[in-house]
Amino acid sequence: MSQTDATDAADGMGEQTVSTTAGETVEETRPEWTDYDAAGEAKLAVEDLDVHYGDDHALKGVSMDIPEESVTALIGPSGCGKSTFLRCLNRMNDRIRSARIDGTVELDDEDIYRDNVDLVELRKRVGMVFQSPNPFPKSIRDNISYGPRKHGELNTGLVARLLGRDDSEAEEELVATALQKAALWDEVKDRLDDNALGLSGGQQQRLCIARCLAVDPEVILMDEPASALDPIATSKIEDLIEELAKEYTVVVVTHSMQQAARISDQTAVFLTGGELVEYDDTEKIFENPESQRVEDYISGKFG
Amino acid sequence: MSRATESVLVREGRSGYEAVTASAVGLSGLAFAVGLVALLDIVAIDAPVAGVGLSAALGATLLVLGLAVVGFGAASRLDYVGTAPQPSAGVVAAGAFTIVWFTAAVLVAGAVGITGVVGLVVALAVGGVAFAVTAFPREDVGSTLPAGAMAVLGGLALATGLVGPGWEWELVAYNATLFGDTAVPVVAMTASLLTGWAAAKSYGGFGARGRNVGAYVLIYLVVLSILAVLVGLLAFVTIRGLPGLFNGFAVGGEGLVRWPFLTNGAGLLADTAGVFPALVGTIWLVVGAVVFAVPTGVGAAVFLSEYAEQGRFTQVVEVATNGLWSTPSIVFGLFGAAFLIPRFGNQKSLIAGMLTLGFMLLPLVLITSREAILAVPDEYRDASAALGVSKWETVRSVVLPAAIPGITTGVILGVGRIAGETAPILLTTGGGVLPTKTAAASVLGGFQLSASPPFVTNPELLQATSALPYQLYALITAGLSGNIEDPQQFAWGLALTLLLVVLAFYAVGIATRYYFRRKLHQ
Amino acid sequence: MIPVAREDYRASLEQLRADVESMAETVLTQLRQALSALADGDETVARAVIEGDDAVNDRYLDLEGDCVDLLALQQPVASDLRFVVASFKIITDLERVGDLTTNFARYATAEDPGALSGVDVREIGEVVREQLRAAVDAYVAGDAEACRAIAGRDDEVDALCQRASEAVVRELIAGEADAWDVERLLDDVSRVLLTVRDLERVGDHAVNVAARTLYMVEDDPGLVY
Repeated sequence: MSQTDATDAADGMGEQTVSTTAGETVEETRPEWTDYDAAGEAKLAVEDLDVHYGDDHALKGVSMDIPEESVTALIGPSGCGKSTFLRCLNRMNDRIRSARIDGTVELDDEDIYRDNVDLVELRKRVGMVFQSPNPFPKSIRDNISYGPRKHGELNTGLVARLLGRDDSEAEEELVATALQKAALWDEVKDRLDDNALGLSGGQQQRLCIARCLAVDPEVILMDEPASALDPIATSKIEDLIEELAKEYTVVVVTHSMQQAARISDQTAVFLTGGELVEYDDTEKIFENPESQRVEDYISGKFG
Repeated sequence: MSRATESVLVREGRSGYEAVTASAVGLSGLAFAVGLVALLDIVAIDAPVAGVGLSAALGATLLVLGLAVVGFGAASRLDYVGTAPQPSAGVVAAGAFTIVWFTAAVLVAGAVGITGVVGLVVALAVGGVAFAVTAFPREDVGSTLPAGAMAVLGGLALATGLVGPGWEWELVAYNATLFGDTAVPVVAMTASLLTGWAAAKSYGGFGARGRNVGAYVLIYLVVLSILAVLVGLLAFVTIRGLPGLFNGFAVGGEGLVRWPFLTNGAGLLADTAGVFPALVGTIWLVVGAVVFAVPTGVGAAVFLSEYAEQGRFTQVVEVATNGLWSTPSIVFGLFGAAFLIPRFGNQKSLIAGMLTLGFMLLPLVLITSREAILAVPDEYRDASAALGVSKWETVRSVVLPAAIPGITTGVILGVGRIAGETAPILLTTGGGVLPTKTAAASVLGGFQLSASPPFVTNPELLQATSALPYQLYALITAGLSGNIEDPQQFAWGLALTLLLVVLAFYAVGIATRYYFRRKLHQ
Repeated sequence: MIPVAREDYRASLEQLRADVESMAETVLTQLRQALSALADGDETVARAVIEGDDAVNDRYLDLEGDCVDLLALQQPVASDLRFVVASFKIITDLERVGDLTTNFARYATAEDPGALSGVDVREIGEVVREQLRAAVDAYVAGDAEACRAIAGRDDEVDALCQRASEAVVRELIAGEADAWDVERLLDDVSRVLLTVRDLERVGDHAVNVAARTLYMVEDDPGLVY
């Protein structure tokens, strides 16, 4: 094929297919499919993120900007690296010994992976909610005030109480605000001293969200927050996510495409091998994606 | 088609068979229990029961049971009842019966006088027959015939008085004699165990269900005997110790309660000798050991679980800890005598004992704390990390509180061990054998300030003192009676006191664990 | 490639496409019959067309139900979603064309059609039939270029219809009529004008089908006004 023919072919619209020697057609991914220009400021800017777990190349050169005060959904089949990506945003992957992380992640234009980053500060600003609700085996009140107390913002120890300088009122207010924001206040307001493990699954998850909100983050990362819950509890969490997006930047990993379609403003599609294939407005992804592989995935042809 | 292979969802029409087999199981259990009680000498084997001696009554029972069990097997084999037996009773049952019959044959041969190679050959033959009878016929015959036959034989022996009160067998080779007092209960227990199992299998209709019921009955009877031994031990000590413990006990008068056994020393001036110094000594030893071992052990466990890299170092520590835990207590005592005593005034002292016992407690606390900490789910640590909380704060506020029930279990177990240890106390703490009341260590009142470092001293800790196990040991070996009227009663009272002290520590530990478990909603 | 998942779903989508195509064939046949009845005045054919419309309406309701079922139960997305939505709209257009063919049949059975010379609706009918045929073919084949071509040809249809209407009015003005003929003339005139209008409508429906097909294939709603 001559040079001009190749160029002409490349200028065509829609998917490109490239024949391999095996006779299969493998789609080339085009960088413009992931070059999403978000409305508003980019809260988190990821550039060329590569993650290796030992020999396993879990994420391959992912770059994307996450806009503030909106919901970004990350979808893709199992093992495609979306949870790995999420955990890079608050450096939770540091806790895994075999993980090697290259690339930059900028929070408000500051790279969180450079030296001397205060992990405590980072995780105060970027909070996380996990797949299975994991409240501490303490009372509801203690669960919520745990973060602020450990950060020194609330003084409720014995000494403080003896000196008359304790922050019980501030604690009560903080707990009430966090629970209200997490839409759990009405259900637990008269049993704040009960052990958190006595709540139902959906309530526990909202408690974990309240606990995360109590430290006043800017970004909330959620790793499949509703996957362990029944449909009604799931709806409550989804409504909550929409509410939260008015104030916080929310990034949600979900394996339910319907959920991603319901709640997110923009959606990033990761496919097997840790590749980010397409990233765009949610309507675009679910009505007319550019990539044939993404189309096949969301139509259920594989995955 | 044989009714033995029918399977219906709702079983009817076998209730007669089931009732009879169930009563056979019950009767076997009763015979077992009676045998157990007789073995523990609570009842004599010639005690009259319905006009005959107990031994004879047991024999008759066994006879009935044996015949009944054989009958159950026959009824099933001849298809009078619907059962679902397997083609064979299995190798395990066959092996067990072989051993039982072989042993019985050896004993009988020996008692009758057939010894040597002939006896061995006879016994082996009997064993072989037992194996064949169990393994080769169908399960219903194979399970019941050997059991029933043994019960019949044993029952005959007991009922006819062949083996009974007054029977004895001199084992020249071992220079010992077996009495009827031992033989009768053993025969009764063995035979009733076998018939109980066989009857239970019959009740379950053989097959899988039968084996299920059989195993249940077997296990139940074995557990019963274990519990009986435990209760028997406690009852034994309690019964013998109560007179001593409450010697001179009175309610009312000047103080509300007078309990001289616990409040007096054993000196000449006391009207009723008591164990007060020893009691105080034991309590302080345990408290001191716990105060030393628990923070150290928990701290080490935290380091090993949370901070150290899992590798060579932690493995070595694990092996060392296990080794330390298995070390005999006298070795600890020697260590204390050689290492601690010179450092604390070159005499036996309370603190040397505390530390020695602390060293003994340390490995157990370390092991159980480590298990408890590792058992705390990682989700809590992840959640805490995601909130931006440092590692130490996480351990302090989330991991350790969640691990407390496990740690408490370790402490409870450890305290139980060290409270009763005699050897270390003997070598590091033991003072006078029959101390007076004033010899009791008064640790709380003994703190003094001093001008030179370490600025706070407590000479009481440096005194040799008595402890309950030590005093008991001394009383038994030294044999001194002083002014104690009844040394036997005193000694038993002492033993009961020790038991009660250990139980008291247990109660405190269990209450603590319960409290924390409730708090953690476990 | 990993084997196709959701087989029943894929089969349902294919079935929908086939059903829409078959409904379209029926409607096209109806149109052809109606136009020939209009030209020949054959009453038998005309009556058959009128009776055949019930079947078309029933088909329409069935297919509408199928589309709703697919949306509710299978939650199609992306091109599958556009396909279902497009098919949903196209069957509406086809059903309307079916109604229009009964109009033609009714005009054909009117008493004694007077010949209005100079007005030959046959040509318009041909063009319109070709448009609808092309639109259905484009839907089945997923041919975006054809859709644009159909939209482009609609101007020709409009022009033909315009000329025909003008011709009728001109003849009306030119022709002399006595009182006896006025009634008949008015009948004829209104019949012809209505026929022309209905033919233009068929053309518009054909363009709608093409427009929805283009949306289905390329997510381009440009032809749908």
